[in-house]
Formats: sequence, structure tokens, C-alpha cells
Amino acid sequence: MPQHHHPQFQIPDELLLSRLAAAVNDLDAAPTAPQARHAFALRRPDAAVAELRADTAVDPPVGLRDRSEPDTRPRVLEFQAPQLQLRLEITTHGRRRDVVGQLHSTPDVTSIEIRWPTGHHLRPVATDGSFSSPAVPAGPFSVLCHRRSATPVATTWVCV
Amino acid sequence: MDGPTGDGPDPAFLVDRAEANEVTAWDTLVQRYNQAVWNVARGMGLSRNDAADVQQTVWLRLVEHLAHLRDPACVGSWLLTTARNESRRLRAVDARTRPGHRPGPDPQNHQDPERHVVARDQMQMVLRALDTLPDPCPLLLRLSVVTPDLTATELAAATAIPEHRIAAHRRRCLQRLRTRLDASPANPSTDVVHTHPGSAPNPPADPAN
Repeated sequence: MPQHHHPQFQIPDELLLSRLAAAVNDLDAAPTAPQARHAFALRRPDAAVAELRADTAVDPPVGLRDRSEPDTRPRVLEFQAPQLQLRLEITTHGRRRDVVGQLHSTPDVTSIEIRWPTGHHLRPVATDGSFSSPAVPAGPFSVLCHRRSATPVATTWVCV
Repeated sequence: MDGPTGDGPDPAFLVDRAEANEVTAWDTLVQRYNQAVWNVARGMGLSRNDAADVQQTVWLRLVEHLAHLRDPACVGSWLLTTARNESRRLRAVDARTRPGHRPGPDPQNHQDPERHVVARDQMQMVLRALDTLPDPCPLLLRLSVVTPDLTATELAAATAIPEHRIAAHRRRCLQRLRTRLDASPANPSTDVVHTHPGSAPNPPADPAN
């Protein structure tokens, strides 16, 4: 047992841990599970997953590290699946997010579904592969790309 | 050490059944790991709002990856690693838009008239002391007390501490917490904390220990 500065008391580990358990469980328990259960209802086993390849929030462009000023540029997310590349620009307005997207090399995408846990927007895709969606709530979101004659592709869920 | 967490069905079996669209298997996975996922986010300093977003993102990620997990038996480690990565992502988003801002702990204050006010104050003090300890102590201690049946592999995934060093880290973190509490104005080591029955045993501190 390490030396302790207090002259009289040393709370035993078990007591300290039980107090800690009471504090965390009573004051800071996880929100109830319905949200996690609901996630299962959003399952799209038919869709291929486009993985996140780049996120300027985590890997800021060179020259933008250690800024002391808030970075007001859109956050850029890049996703990739075998036949699809997708670039998203996310702009923050309080708890609302505006999304502007650009698809690359995917002529067969017919429409875009911007999804969040409690809703979705269906958006058309312009001939140059661009699309946009205003007013997406902050939190997890995903883009589902519907294709003319192939399985849909969904971006992995990311918090925005 | 690498076996399934606690009692109940094997995680690989649950992943398999959930993939076959059995919602009860999914619910069992949620029940087993939800608190741990939440405490990874909270232990990494996220607000309750951000932690709730991470929690939901992690479960959505598992939904989409059910069929593609490299090792379904390690779904616990996968969930906790994902929780860790997404918590770091949200911290980075926060740092980007609000440089210098460090989100503080914000425990929810449930109004519970039956609970002893003094006990509540003391629990809040313990939680505050916990969440202001240096990393990785808030994370490691939260996981140790809330989901004590996590495997060493799962703990290592959640904390990025090598398995063989977790016990030493936990000892050091407990000692830091003890020192922090001793330095607090209302020292709980000399008071008995009254909580409702079944919450935690609260014998008086033993001076002989």
C-alpha cells in the first residue's frame, strides 16, 4: 500500500470503489436504451458501406493546426466504397447542419437519402453529381445513395 | 481473459443472431455494453449531449457492420474502440470550433426528494473529483466500477492502455482520487455516505486500514 499523506485515514479500495460506483450509477447513468434499440430498426443489410477516409475535424489541413481562432470553414468528410467516392461539406449553425455533397464516378446514383435517427431527407442529384440538404439535426447522420441497377451504398454513420 | 464478458450467451453467438435479424440478441448486446460505451464517452470528457450522440453513433455503426466484423467474439472490444474513436472525433470537432474550450463534467441532477441531500452532495463531489483527474483515470475508473466484468482485452481497447499495465494504472488512479478527496473541504473519508439500500455498502472508513 503506498504511503498516504493523510495522518489518520486511508479509505480502503473497496469502499472507495463502491462510493465511485454509487456516484456514477446514481448521477451519471447512460440514457435508457431505446435509442440503441432503435438503431437496429435503421438497419439496411442490402446496402454496401462507404467507409470514412478523411475528416478535417480530426486531420486539419496543413497550416491549420493549433489555431487559437475558431475554424469557421465547413468540415469536410470523405467516404469511399468500391464503386463510390463521396465528399461532404458540413456547415454548423447551432444544432443544425447544412450538407453539400459531391459524388465522384458514380453515374448510376439516382437519388440521395440523408438519414438521421429520427428522420430523413430525399434529395435529387444534379448531373454533375452534386446535391445538398439543409437543416439536418446535429448528431449521427448517414448518406444513403440509391442506384439505378445496383445495391445502394450507405456512408458509415458519423456524428456531425 | 479473452472469454465472453460476464454470464449469458457468447458475444459471437449474439452477433450472429442479430445479423439474422433477431432483435432479442441485439437487445442483449445493448444491455451488456451500453453502460460501458456511455462511460467511455463520459470518461473522455464529453458532455452528456455529446456522449449521447457518440453512444447512438456506436450502435448505428455496429448495426451496419454486423455482417463484416473481423472477429465477432471481440464485439465488445470493437464497440469500445469505436466509442473511443468517435469520442476523440467529437472532441476534435469541439476544439476546432471552440479553441481552448475544455468541456467540464456536467452530471445530471435528478430531483429525488427521498434521497438524503448530504449524500447527493457527497456523490457529486466524488464524481467531480473523478472527472477532474488526469487522463486516463476518469475513463479507467468509470469502466472499472460501472462494468466490472469487462475483460482485460476490452478494457485495453477502451483505454488504449496495454493489458499488462491496467492493474498498475488503476492502482495509481485510485490513489490520485483518494488524495483529491482528502484535499476536498468536506472530506467524505470521515463521513458516512447515506444512499438507498442496494446502491452500495457504506461502512464507516476504517482507521486501521
